[in-house]
Amino acid sequence: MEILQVIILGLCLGFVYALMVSGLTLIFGVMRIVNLAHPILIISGAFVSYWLFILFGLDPILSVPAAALTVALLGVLLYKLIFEKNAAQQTYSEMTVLLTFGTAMVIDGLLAFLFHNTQRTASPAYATDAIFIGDIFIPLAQLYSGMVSLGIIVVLALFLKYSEFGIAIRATSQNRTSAELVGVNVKFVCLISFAIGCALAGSAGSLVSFVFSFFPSRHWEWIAILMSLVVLGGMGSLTGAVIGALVLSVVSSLVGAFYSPAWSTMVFFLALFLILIIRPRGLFGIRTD
Amino acid sequence: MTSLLSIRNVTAGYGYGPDIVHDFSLSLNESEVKCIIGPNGAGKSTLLKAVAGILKPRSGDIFFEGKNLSGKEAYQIMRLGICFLPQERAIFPNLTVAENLRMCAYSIKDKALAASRIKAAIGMFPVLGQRLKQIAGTMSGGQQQQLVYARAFTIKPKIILIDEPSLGLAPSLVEQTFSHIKQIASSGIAVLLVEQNAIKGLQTSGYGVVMDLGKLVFEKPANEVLQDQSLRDLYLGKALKK
Amino acid sequence: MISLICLPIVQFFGNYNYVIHMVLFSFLYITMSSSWNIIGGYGGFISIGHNVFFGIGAYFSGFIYARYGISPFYTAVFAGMIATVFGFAIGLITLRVKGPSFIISSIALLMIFRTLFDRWELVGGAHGITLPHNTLSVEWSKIPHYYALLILMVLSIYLSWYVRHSKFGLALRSISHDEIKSEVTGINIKIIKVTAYALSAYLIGAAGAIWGDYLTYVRPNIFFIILIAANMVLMCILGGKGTVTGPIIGTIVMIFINEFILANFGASELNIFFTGLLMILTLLYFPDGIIGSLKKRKLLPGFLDWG
Repeated sequence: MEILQVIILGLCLGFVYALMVSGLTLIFGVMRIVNLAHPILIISGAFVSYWLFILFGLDPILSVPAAALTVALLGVLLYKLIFEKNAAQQTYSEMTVLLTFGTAMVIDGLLAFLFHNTQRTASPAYATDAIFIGDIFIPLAQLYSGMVSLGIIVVLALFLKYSEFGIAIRATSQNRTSAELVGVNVKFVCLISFAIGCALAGSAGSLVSFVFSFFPSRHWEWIAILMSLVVLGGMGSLTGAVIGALVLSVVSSLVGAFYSPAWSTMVFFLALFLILIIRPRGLFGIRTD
Repeated sequence: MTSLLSIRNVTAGYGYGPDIVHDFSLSLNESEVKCIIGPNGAGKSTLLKAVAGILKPRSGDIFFEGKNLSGKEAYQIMRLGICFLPQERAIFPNLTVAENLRMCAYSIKDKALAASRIKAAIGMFPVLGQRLKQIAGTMSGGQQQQLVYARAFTIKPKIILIDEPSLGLAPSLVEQTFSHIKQIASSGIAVLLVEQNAIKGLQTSGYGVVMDLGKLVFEKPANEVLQDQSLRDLYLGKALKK
Repeated sequence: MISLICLPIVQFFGNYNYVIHMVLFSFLYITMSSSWNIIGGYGGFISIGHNVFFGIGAYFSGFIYARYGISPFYTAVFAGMIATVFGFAIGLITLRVKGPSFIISSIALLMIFRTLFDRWELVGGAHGITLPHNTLSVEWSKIPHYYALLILMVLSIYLSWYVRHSKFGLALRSISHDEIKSEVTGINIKIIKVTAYALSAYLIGAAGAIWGDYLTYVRPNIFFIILIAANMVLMCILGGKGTVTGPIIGTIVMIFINEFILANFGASELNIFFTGLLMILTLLYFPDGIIGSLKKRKLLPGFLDWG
């Protein structure tokens, strides 16, 4: 019974992780930018929800749109200032990675300066509650955040699958020139995809604000965690990212429960390292270079 | 009389490299079919890329229906009515056939019109209709080729630029491809064709344009080019001597 | 050079510990960025986890000092060797990927080591190892470190210069341009890459040993933080990666900027902010770095042009 309990908790968190990486994988797919600033954008979103909760008592789940919008605007700003020139060429280069690395440092420094590196968690009423199904107990925070994440991912998947613009996004990520030749304004698609990716980071941040404790510098750890998820699923593939997130989250929960919580994050780092080395293309195949 | 497309003194090249196309001029009228031939490295493909806007010309101007295309992005040029089919198969291999067709019609703002055009294209290529849910990259070469040419009937451009349509195709597919091109030409769309298989290309076209080292050598009606003995030796290769 | 050797004389005239500290801090970072430059600059493998070797060196010597009382000044040579061995082993694995994948794997590597040392009770877990102070008086306590790091710095610059002008370095630079073409010309690219990686680990490991003794403690959250690696990368890029003098100039400029920020704004969080900002600005507007840009415009004075 205990093992089932751990797996269910792992799955709930897994959906949150999946939401956290969905934006990363979208941006990589369209622009070939490995956005190391993604985790700090998530934390920015978490701060938005956290302060809305502390100052106005707004439930973090209800502030998902606010956080998404704020971070999307921040993303558009970053895109215009930093990435526009590189994104236009779709170069998959070290240089863009270092640019995102620098961006991550800038936001990290700014947030740490404003709010200090103290651990924070938004604590809505349900954060300490749980429901019982038979012997299995599920904390409401995990349950709600998992469900909201799942919902957002489904909406994203439907958008990419069926809407005209969604198909254009997928077409652009497959072949930029071909997309341009059927009349797609590729630069606009890039900008919007970047904004959507950042909005996804922001909405994930809202959920993070009450599921995890967070502080600005924590994003370094999350860089490696998120990278492990996308690399497992194959960069640029949403389905792959979701599967990667669920698998690693469950494994990490199992390690945490049956071996030692101290080693649970090691699962992500080791997985990332090994997959990059053994199969640079990721287990589910979509190319990384 | 102003022609539909007029290329005036265009010079183009890649990156910091040398000029590939040099001071080139050419015009194309409505419903006209011209085939550009010439040896490898003559700058034929580069010229098409410059017209399509994938490559910005270094100097010179390109006019389409009297409008100067310089400074326009590739997608804007395409929306004006110039469709470019590059050498590598211009489909999205990981999208389904239906999604590919929707992308073909992406530039058509009127959704009802887009749907009817797609339907018409499927009518011309029934195989595509049977395989709407299939991932395009998993179809056979011939079927993929049909998907490529379905685009011309979906968007109905004024000009279609085709780069080396027979490159790397099996002989039977070459026949199929040229019949598609003839179909396009007979529907009234002007075609600017670049082709290594000179005989096939010229047989399909009204005019032959010979290009070498980035420059125009001459332009003549296609049947005259085919009969020109000196040209055969120079540009069309020994195989044609028979 | 002579003035650097003689600089500690100032201590006869008063307490100039701050000056000494800043100079030896520069030595440390020049050693590290010059070493990083071998694999990152000449080889084109951008590692943002290179301080793993810094930590390994520090932990090795620190552990021996705390347990057996042998000073890191003697064991630094071996600390470097241990770092090299690790470099060789890690290089064999990670250098199979390149470009962004390599960058990400280097971050993963750093996180793995950070987690390991945070949990490894034998070496003190998250608290790390505390080392005894040396018995010298306050004015003179920094002097041994000063000279040790000076030696390491000179070695690192020499090594960088040597690699730049050797056949080995030529092979390395050709790999950074095009691995496949290099392989076709008969270069054993695997050996070259891994050797360069291991070589760049040596002096960083030795410097880690000295730095641990200087700080008198070795902790994961001091040695295994990404900021150190970020500094190495930025110093090289700012000065001009792939040049011998670039990392030196870049380091000096960076340390001045850092000090300026600390003196004017105080908060170390802002230091991260400005480091990141500088990295973005350099990459966007100045990708060849100081030396590289000067060289391109043929403005580089001869005494800075070491290749």
